[in-house]
Amino acid sequence: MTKTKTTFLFLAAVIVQLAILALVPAKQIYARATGRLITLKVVPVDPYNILSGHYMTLGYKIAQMPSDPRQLDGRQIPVYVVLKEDPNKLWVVDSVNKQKPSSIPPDKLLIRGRTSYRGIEYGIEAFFVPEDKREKIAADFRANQNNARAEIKVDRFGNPALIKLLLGDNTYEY
Amino acid sequence: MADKLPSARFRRQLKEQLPLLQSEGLISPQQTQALSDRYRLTALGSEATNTLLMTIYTIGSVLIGIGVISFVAAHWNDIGRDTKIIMLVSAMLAAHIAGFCLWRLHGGYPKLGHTLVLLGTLIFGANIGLIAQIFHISGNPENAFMAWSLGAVVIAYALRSVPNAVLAVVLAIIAVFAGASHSPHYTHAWFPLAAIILFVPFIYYTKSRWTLCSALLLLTLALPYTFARKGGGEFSTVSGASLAGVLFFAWGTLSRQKERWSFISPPAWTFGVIAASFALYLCSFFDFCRNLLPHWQMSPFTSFSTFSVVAVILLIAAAALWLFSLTKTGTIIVFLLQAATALTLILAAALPWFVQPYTIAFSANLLLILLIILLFCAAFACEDRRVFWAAVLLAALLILGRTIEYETELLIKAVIFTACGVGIIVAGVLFERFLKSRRAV
Repeated sequence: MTKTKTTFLFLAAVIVQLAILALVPAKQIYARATGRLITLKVVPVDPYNILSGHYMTLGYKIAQMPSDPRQLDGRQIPVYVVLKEDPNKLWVVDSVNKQKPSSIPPDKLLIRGRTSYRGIEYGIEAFFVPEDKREKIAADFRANQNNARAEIKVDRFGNPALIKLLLGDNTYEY
Repeated sequence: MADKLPSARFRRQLKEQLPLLQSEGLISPQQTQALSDRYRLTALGSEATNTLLMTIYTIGSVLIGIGVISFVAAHWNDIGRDTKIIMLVSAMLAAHIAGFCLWRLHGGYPKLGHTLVLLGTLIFGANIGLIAQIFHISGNPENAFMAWSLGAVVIAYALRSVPNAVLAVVLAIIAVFAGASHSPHYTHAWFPLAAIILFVPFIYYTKSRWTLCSALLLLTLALPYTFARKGGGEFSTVSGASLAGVLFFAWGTLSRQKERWSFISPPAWTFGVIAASFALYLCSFFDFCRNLLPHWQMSPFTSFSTFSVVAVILLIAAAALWLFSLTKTGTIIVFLLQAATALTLILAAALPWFVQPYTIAFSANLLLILLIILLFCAAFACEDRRVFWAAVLLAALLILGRTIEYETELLIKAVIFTACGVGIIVAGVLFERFLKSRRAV
């Protein structure tokens, strides 16, 4: 094989690796750039075990399964959740659908998730925090369990990106 | 001149021995010279310097790397998101490009270069995790490992790099099991098929035994595991394992016909026998067979899903490979062994279709005995000690299984264990004698 051909193949392979790396945060970058900013209520998953390794596991009010879970069994199936804003400026579930709704009114919002045995997962459950701030944030979280919120951006396809965590009056963004 | 030289240690010893042999009159000065040329003994000195230099370079670059990583880690929280990403990607590109230049363009430091390219792929994997972390992405770890594996495969093909290919297979094995902790009902149906498409051409392309063995291990684990994750529990595990058995055995038999690909046969047969005997051994327990039937409806073979498509494609592939492998034959004994062992494996694949638990357990025991006999025959035909001991191990497991399964009296147990022990020793002695007599001839 000639050197030119090998160089070409090598560069192509490196470009593929770069493309894979670019695909990892692609949806998040798009959602951050174009998405609509909403605030969600964060509920404690396990307040005494918030930190698992490098991140905090966030539970969301909107992750709770609808009252009739028969239509959505524990398997990982995609669901389309329609959200609406409540008087407290927090977004809550309006409906959970297996099929994508044909149209969404402007005062509502579509977000995509996946069912699991823990409820609905949106891919925004991990909040990575710097090592030296971990204990402080965990303590803050325990103190503000009833006033924990997260700001997320949702793009027009329903993909969410986690932006910041609001605990009482403190804001955490990394 | 052979391309591959023996180890430097051997050559050093040879260099020391040659003058001695010459002074004793065992070899002539011409022969000494010829041997010295053959093993490139004069180049030993400069090679040692090269190795030393390479070691120094490696230690140096690792230390610099640790220094840079520590510096970055100390300031990681203060660095902006964009800078972080640029740094991560630059580290990966630097390792790749430096490695490529040293290995292929400059050509002077192939090993150091190759190691750096591998390091580049390792950094690529770390970057997937770090970028996910920067963007607070919580996803299935299975996907991250698959993406990493794919990146490694691409580099492996581009540079014919076996270490990258083996890394890719190892990552794929981790991916198969990483999904388990995330969710019990989520896995990629196409995974085994994708693994075959990705890794088999590479095995033919590079004739790499390492890739072959690791890919066979991957499929032996992945087929039963992914099928079982779909549902159907024990039934799917057995179907997956026996399917792997049939597939590998047919592939091994087909590969044996061409000298160029004959290196595939021994590992493929080995893994084929392991996978099939695993399936048969599970089915040889009556209680296991009773649990097979309730899960029957959920297995990939009985309920239609993407898993069924994958299962049927693989089954057809195995049958096709086997049919092609029948066109040419070696000696009649080898042919009979192949045909009979393949029959065992095909029956193993068909096993889950038997309906009564008794029938399944009975057939499984019978097939295991047949497999053991065939392995013994093969051991004598090929004069291979490893095949012989594999047969002994399987026989011992079978007897042990039956003794544990059924409530037998202590006296009977004692007799069985003693008989087994005596049997193993006698068989071992007889086989060693047989080998000795053959080798003497």
